[in-house]
Amino acid sequence: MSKKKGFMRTLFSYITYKEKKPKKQFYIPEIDNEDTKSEEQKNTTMKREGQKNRGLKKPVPVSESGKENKPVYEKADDEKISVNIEENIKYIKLKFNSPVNKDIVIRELMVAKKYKAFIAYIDGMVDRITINNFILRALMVNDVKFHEDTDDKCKLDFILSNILQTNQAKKVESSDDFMYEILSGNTLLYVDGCDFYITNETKGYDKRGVEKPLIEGVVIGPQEAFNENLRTNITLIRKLIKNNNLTTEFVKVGNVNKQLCAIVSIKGITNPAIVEEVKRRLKNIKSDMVLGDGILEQFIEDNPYSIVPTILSTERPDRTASHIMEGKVAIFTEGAPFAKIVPVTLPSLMHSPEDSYMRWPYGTLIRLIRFLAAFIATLLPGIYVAITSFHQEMIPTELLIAIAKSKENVPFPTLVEVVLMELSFELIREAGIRIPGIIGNTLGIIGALILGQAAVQANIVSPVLIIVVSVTGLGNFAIPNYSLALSARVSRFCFIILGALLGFYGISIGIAFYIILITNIKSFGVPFFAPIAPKTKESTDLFFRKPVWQQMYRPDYVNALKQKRQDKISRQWMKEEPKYSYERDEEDD
Amino acid sequence: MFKVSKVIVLLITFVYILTGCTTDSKNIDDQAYAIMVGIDKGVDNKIRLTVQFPTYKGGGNGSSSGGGGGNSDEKEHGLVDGTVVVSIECATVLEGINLLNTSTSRHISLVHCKAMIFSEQLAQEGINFYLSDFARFRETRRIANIGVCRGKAEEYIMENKTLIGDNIFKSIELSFSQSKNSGLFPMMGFTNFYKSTISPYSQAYSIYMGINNFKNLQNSDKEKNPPLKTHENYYPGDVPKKGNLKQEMIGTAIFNGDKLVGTLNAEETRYFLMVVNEFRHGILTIEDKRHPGMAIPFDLRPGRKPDIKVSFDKSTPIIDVNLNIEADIVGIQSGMHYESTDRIKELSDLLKDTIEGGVSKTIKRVQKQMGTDIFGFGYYAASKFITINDLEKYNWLSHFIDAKINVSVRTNIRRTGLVAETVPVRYRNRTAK
Repeated sequence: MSKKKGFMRTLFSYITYKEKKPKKQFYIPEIDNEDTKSEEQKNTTMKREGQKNRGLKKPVPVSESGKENKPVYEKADDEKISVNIEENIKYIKLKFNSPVNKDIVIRELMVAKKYKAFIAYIDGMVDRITINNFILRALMVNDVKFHEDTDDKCKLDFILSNILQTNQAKKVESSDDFMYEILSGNTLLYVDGCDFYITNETKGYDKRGVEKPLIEGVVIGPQEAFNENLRTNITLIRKLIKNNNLTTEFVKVGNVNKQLCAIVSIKGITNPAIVEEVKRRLKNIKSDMVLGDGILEQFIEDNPYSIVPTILSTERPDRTASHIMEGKVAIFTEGAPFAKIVPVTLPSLMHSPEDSYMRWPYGTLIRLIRFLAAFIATLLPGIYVAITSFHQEMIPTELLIAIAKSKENVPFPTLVEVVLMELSFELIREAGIRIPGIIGNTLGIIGALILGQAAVQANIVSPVLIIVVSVTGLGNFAIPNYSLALSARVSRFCFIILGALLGFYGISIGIAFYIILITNIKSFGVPFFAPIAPKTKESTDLFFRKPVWQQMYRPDYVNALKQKRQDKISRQWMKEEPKYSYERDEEDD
Repeated sequence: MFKVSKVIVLLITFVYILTGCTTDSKNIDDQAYAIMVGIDKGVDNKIRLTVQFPTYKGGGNGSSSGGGGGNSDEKEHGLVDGTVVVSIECATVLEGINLLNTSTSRHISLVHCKAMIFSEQLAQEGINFYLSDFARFRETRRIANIGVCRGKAEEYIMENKTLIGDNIFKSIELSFSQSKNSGLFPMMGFTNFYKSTISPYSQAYSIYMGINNFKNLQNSDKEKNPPLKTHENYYPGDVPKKGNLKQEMIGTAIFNGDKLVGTLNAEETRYFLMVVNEFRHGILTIEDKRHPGMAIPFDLRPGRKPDIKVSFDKSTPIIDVNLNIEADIVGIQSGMHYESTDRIKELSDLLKDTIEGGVSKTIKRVQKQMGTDIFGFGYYAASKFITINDLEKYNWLSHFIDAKINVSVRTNIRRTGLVAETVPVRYRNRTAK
């Protein structure tokens, strides 16, 4: 009895109103220093920002980030580097489990025939030519240069500035740092008697070249996609945004695998609060393994239970660049050919880079078609079930009789037919992806055709349903974001069930709940349904894409430091008289 | 967030349990969709109900039995042109349909019923009993046409066949929409009809239909010169024709409340439709005054919405009806050059007189003989009253008979067709005038 009472109470607690506990949530503070030029004003805004961000944790410098999770070793020499070369070699060997682990290479040598030294690197991660030609040769051949100075005990400073011929070389003094340098493909140099190392940039692991985008193809526009190399990806962005304020910050994520993440933003446009929040979330992931950005997304998103994705994942540098220019932040992960963009809203997930590349009438048309596609992909089977089982009066009579005739020999109710077809369609799609090699796609299409036609001929489903299912499939493929398309696939089944249970009434309940869910979630402090609810400043780029020269402001919801994107009259040449180099005759037209 | 999803699951479950709508769900092929419902006066019981619904045989096309003649077995089962026609005697319409379910393999649904036809005899006695049943019934199609059949509705439905296409639903729907092409019969949906029977503003009218047995077409053995008859004063079954469907929709049935009080013929129907702004298009032939025996056909269409004003002289209503009709010349048999700018007015006046005469005659006939306001003048009068109660107290429908009605028509001949000017025929030795 008491158990039952408890159950009733929990049941009641779900449907009764409770005072909401005040919970600190991240939001983007508004900073309007658009017209502020003087230092004084700038200072006040900075102060204000500081006040508003009280709830946020101060960012921790990169170097300290991994400290607290250090594994415990038998010999504790993690704090400082020994001046003895033997000790150091031992330490590195111990750290990398050297005799067992064959990847670490420690090459001992004599610099200028006088000083004991060694270089350490991981085999395969480095570029051998650089090591051979510009580190080893430089160290072992240039003994002439060592003549003048005598009393300096540590030669590394001298070597760094005079001998080494690598483009990036720097001192590292903490064991965390040099370990990380080795792990990321750099070469460590040590000379006896010093208490620091020098790392040389020698990254030379194999990587894919820049290729065509596979997922987000466009007809008009650049045909470049990110690859798995973090540096290449950031370079692709730099290629598009040639601005000194484009800032890349690195954060290491994951206790064990130490995935390098880059946070790219534009200083002076991006609201610093977003960058801080991204850094805070990335740094506070306490997990051993954060592989790729798909897993990263799940660790940092606001609403893990939401049905729609709240982070935009793109493989296109141009799309990333345009979002960065709008004042958003891009997150790159080493080893993932995608950029994660935050904060985003639902409409921006529905946009495709192609919309902007085309002239506005075409861009608007294809965008509207895409919204229609999303509607079809989510609702069409549900509406079909609702109409055929509750609202037969809505179908034109001729069609109704045609459906009835074609269903005459089908033994199943409409719901079973729809679920059957939808499931087999999903099956074909999933199998099409998993089938190895080039036959995958063809097999998928052929499978669909055979299944569709044969199912009708075998009187398992009615032909109208094949049309419904295939149009739904087409609609789903037209959604430009893969995660969003998946969410449409999931919610479609909910709508089918609702339509079968309650007809249009059920569908409208479903739509209402869907909207409630969407308006309830946030993406890095921005309401997910932003330009529509809550209503922000009128957007020039929502359902209808206005001409590019009219898109004067950045999206309001990101609270960018510079709201204005271009002059009111961006086509300045319209105001000027055209200069003709010749005199116009009267006969000239 | 997790709680929210729990709440949603709970709510959906509640909604499902509490409403119980799911029992209303029916598959498309579990039902038979009635095309037409006919109601006659019964012999043993109150009414005789005739229902027609299609069979789902023969894949795409419906005309499997071919022309409706069929063999005796098919006739016995009431198979007509890929449909089944059933008649049953019963007390009320819905009960009759219920009774029919005992011998039909599927539930007979009225959601796609295209027309409800009452026999003239029943209509004269009043049809509100049946209409109010339909009005409450969830499955009634609210845009089903209401018709009054000269003769028996059962016979009319038995003639429900399709000759041109395969699909009987399509041909029925299209045949009703012929009202827009000819203007010789009105369209009246169920809701509007029912509303008019209970409305204080206007009264009901419906399609007048019947069976033509092809007996009006005279044999051609008489050797004489027939006169030109431009008046289309036909009632259903009167049109001199042969072939095609026996069904005919022509003219208007006029109701006082729910009782049939009179009918309008084809020509009057056209003038009536002009007043109620339902006239879309039609050909009108007028006799040429200068050349008797010669005809001038016009292609008419409304120029503007009819401008109707109602005022009151003490308690007598005065109704001004201003019509604006546009016409294209279809032909001038006499070859007279009416198209020229100085003659066109003459032609326009001829047309104006004809229409004006026709409209006022029609209105007068409806007003004086039948005494019902099927034109909906009451809607225009209503604005003269401060409250609806005042209007109801005044009782517009009883005062309509005394109303003074002024009709004025503006005609405008817009185009001369593809020929700008009639060119006379040339014979060997002369040219026709």
